[in-house]
Amino acid sequence: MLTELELERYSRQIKLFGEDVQRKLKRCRVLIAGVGGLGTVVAMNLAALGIGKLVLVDHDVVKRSNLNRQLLYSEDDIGKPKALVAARRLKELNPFIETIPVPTRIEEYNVSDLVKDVDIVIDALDNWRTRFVLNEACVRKNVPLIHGGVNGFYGQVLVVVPGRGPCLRCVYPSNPPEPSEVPVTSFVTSLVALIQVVECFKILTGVGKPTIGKMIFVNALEPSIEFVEVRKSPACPTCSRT
Amino acid sequence: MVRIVKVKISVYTYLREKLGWREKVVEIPGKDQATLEEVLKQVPELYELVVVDGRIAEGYIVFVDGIHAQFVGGLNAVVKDGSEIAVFPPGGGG
Repeated sequence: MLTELELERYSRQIKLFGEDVQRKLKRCRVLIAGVGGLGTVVAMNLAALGIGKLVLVDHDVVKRSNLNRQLLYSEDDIGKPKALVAARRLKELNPFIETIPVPTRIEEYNVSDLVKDVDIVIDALDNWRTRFVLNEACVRKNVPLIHGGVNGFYGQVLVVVPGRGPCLRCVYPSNPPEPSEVPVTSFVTSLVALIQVVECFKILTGVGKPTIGKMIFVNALEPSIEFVEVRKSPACPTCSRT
Repeated sequence: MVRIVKVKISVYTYLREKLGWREKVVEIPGKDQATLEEVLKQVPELYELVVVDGRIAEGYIVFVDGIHAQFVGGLNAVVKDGSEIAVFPPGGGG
């Protein structure tokens, strides 16, 4: 049920996709893993869209060097837990949604609980080890996962829908070297994050067709968005049995 | 019938700036199929970057027709006429 105030707030997008879709969005629960460069932009857009519940998982605190791209935070937030600040600020942006801060690190022991009651997971993490913990849990629990990653002027997105296409392990059978202090700027993280948002919207609502089976590459300099075919590997240790 | 293996190699992200090209078509005549290593060797600047100590370097992802090379034999993966190879580095930041 949408209130009069919500109908007014969302009126311009209801013109685009209708009230039924807006109601569907309100019933959705999305987990955002990492509320950094990708995660803040994803979260702001999902909040504006009217997703009913946003679960914000991040163990870290805001640092000054985050502020060039982590657009939810300000100088006053330095030293504060990202998940808590993000939850509060998103609620200010859209008081009609619920935000659930989870200021913890995603590990093998808690990942199943984190993903079990959500409709979709956004991988906005900054390290591969945790990404694969998340990927395994999503495949096991049959929860769609939208991976995003950036490096310099480039980034990539992979939509993982268990049983319907490749998972992250199909693309990276061995963990890539862990990045340390990747060079990055807000327009690249924003470009990649917005593609994650669009793919999330399509999966949640059934509007359009999610980009399954293709790695989406973003090149901010050319500029270009390109697709590379990625097939589910019959030998993938994570998803070959799904 | 002329036997030839014709393969398209595409590179992505900073590899384009590094190598100065987006894609190349490689032709290996006299064969019905080749190995991934044979194909990569046709482009020495790519081979030198991507192959270290006889294996694909951990900083690069190499796909043969949509499957990661590691799942289909690594540098011995079979490449057929019309196959497509994609090479890209992982972007791990968030």
